Amino acid sequence: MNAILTSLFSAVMAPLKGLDPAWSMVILSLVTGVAMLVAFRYVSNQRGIKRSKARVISELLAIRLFKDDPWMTIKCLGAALKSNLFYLRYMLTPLVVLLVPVVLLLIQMEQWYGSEPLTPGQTTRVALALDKKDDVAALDAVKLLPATDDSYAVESPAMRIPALGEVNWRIRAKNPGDTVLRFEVGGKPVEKRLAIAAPDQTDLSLVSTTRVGSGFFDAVLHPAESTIGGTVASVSVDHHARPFSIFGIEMAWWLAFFILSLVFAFALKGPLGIQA
Amino acid sequence: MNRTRNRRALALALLAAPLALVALSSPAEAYVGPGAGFALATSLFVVLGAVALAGIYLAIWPIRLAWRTLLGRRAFKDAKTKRVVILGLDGLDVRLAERYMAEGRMPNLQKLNFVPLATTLPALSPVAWSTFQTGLDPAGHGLFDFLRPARPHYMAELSSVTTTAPARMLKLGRFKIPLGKPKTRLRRRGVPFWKILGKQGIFSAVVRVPITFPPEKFRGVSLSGMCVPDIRGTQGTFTEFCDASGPDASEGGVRVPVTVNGDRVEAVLTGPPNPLTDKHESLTQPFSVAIDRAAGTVDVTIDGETERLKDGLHSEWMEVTFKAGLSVKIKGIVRFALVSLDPFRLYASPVHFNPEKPAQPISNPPAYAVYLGKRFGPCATLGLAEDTWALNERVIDSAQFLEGSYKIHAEREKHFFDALEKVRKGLVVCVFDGSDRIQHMFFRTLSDDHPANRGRRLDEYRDVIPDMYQKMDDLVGRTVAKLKKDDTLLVMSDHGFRNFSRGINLNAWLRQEGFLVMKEGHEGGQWYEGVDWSKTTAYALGLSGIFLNRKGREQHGIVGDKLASELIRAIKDKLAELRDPERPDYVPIRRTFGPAEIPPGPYADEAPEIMVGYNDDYRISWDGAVGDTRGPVFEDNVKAWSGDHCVDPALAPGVLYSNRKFTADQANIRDLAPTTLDLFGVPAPAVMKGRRLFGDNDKPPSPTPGDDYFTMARDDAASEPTPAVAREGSRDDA
Repeated sequence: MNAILTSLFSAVMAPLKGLDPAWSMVILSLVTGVAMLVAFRYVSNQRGIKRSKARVISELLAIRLFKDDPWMTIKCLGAALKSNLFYLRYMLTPLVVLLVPVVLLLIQMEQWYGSEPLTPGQTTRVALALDKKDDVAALDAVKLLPATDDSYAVESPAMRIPALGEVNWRIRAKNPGDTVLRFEVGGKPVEKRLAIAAPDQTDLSLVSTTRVGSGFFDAVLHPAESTIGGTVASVSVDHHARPFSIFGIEMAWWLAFFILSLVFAFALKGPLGIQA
Repeated sequence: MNRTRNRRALALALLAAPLALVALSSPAEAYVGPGAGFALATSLFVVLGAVALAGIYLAIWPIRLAWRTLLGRRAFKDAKTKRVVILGLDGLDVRLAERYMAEGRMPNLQKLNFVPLATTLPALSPVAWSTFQTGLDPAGHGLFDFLRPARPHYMAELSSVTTTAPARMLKLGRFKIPLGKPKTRLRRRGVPFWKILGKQGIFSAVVRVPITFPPEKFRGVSLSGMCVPDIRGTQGTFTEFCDASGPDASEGGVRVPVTVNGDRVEAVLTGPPNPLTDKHESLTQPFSVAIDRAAGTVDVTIDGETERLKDGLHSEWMEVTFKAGLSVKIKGIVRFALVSLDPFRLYASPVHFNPEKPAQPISNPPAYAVYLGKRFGPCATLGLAEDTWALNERVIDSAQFLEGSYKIHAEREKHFFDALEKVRKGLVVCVFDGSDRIQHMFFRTLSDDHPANRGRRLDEYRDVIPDMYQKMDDLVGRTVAKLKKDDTLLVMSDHGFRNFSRGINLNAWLRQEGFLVMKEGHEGGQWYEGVDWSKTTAYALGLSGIFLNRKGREQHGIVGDKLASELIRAIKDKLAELRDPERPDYVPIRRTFGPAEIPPGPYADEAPEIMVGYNDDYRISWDGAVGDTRGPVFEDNVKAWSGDHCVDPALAPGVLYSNRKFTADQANIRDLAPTTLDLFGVPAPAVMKGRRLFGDNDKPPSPTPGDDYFTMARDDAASEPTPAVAREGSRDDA
């Protein structure tokens, strides 16, 4: 399923990756906002939401209208907060239902917006973790092989940390392109994708920071590469977080997505006749 | 068992999976989409907004209190009560109330103290409720009827409200944009007593009291009642959609022919005139009807909303938006009811203003209507909300009328009890009109030989009026249950009711007697068609008024001051001699009132020169009321509108009940304003001639115009029991 989702999302990103990341984010947020809004309409109790929203507003108006009586003001305040809880109750079902697709989408977006690819000359840490900790013999049997395409160079000897069940190396990126890191673990080959971009490249690209060994949730959270299996827990490469700014304001990409999709959804819920 | 367990497991897994994802994700991945965003953003806004709003009001409350005290407006300082609750039951009749009490149908009113309540001249709701709220006689507030002549012309216009279009317009292509809002002005003069209370810092909630449109500013909240127009600007225009075999067009509504294509009907609902164009063409909203013949139901879809209609019942209110262009939208609400499938007949109520977005202000402050709409859902806002015309014209049947009326009553009850809950100190007034409308439409059921019973079912509706009185009594009971120890309750009606089985066409009579003259060769028609004003000296307009064609006042006036007195005397004398050929021994017009018999006031000159006090069974005929000079002077009233109150006011007193003991044994509707002010310890202005009904009194009882009501009542005693007499045990079978 990971492969399907990743392919689908890569297809979606294909026409967008050449754009400024801010604009691609605007487009993605718009499409997501509309899609979520339409989905929201069908999975939520629209009449109930309308009723509960109206009730909340009426209590707020009551605070204003009957302000002469302090006790009534307090009573209306309590009623407003209580009505607010009823409103939230109506949000629970759509929230749970929409949570799944939205989380999957965010995970996909993280692959594109979360990290920068390496650039030639940049050094970084590569870590391979085994399932078992304190198994020195197994750690000894882990090797990072040199690149066959001269895309990277291993700059440091392996540093084994038995307490973490982990082996670390420092590598230097050499030539741009999508390549693989090749390992040997207990005599078996293991690979990990490595993204190296030219220094002047501005296009978005898929960056897989971690390939996991096994586990459902790990696999869901790192969908770009298939699970390794065997004794390997994960292989990860440290990438710099991709700086993101929108209309000159620096912020986390997910925050921009949150704000934009919300703004689009709020703007379009009226025209689409959706109560939210 | 296993299936239940599996379902539970599935539900748990569905809930757990995304939550686990969130728990295991980095913060960036914990965002859960616009749905949650809405919830989060809205809830946060609500919490912050509510707390801030409440905080501000609580913080400034002592300052406001101090300010009021500084200004000397120490509310409740001399008050005899903490709260006055006035429950207005429009048209509740003394004789019927007494009768149903004796039958044990009204135990709650039976427990209260009672005095009969003399009404105004004429005994009409807009006049009487204006007197109620201002404490002024009609000549003091200037309202004498529903209608008045649009001087200098002879056409009728609404007496209580006038609307003027904005003076300046901006032409923009096909649009003409008004620069400013149309001005709607209340013609009723005087100051309502809740405004006087407000100046003393006493809060009031005034719900649907007639003649409160447009809403006036005061300390409190109000929702306007009688005279609020529908979205078309009329006093209520229903629409009947029917296929070719339907009946002809009707009064008070519009008939729209439609074609039934298989099981589908496409039609358009007419809305307001476009305020942005020269021609003011009507805005429309298309809707569709899907017929299910097997089930006997139809689905009406309008503006994206669908309601299923069955068993002749009304739909819930459906929101409808009319687009005028330039993003201007006019919002209304409408109800549908299926009258019949074959032939296809669908009733659409007048389109009311949507309380949440009314095209004109209908409440004080404007947010109060929004509050009620949000709190309780859409509600009737049209002044005359119960569709009497649709029943009169047999577009809906009696059962549908009752169902629609009680739905409106139920809405009103919610508003009233909410006001009762919200206003713990101060004034709560609410008027229920259903009691008036139901009596108008079902008074025929109290006498088998009423002409309106011809072709109408009688037996199944015999209990409509007693049931209505019982329901009103139940409302009183629930109100009493909500009262606190120091509250004062007043249950009142503005007038009583009488039978209306014969109509008198006053215009035809004036023509017959030579006061109204037709142009050569003209037979006449509605609204004085063909009248030769250069020879006409008098004309009838409205329900009880006869106007002289005065020089300098009317466009073609010919009657000078000297002739006026002679004419008034002559018309009064002739009316006193008028007899119905069908009942030659009965006096159809009990009394007439000339200028000398009308209680004085600054606006007395706006009154008709003669006001006609009809006797029981009589009223102006339907044709006479619309200025039709043709036809017989007397005719049977065969419309469902079979009871009325525009008789001699002595015949239609209202009721007044209270949980306080009255110190007066007689009351007049003009006493209510000074009485309420007195209960709050607020002196009544000198212009209010009424007196206090509780405690010591320094004023004599308020007489009714032209005569003392109670003297009249004694005169009546020979032929029928009076309210006062009935109270002592004598019964009238009404």
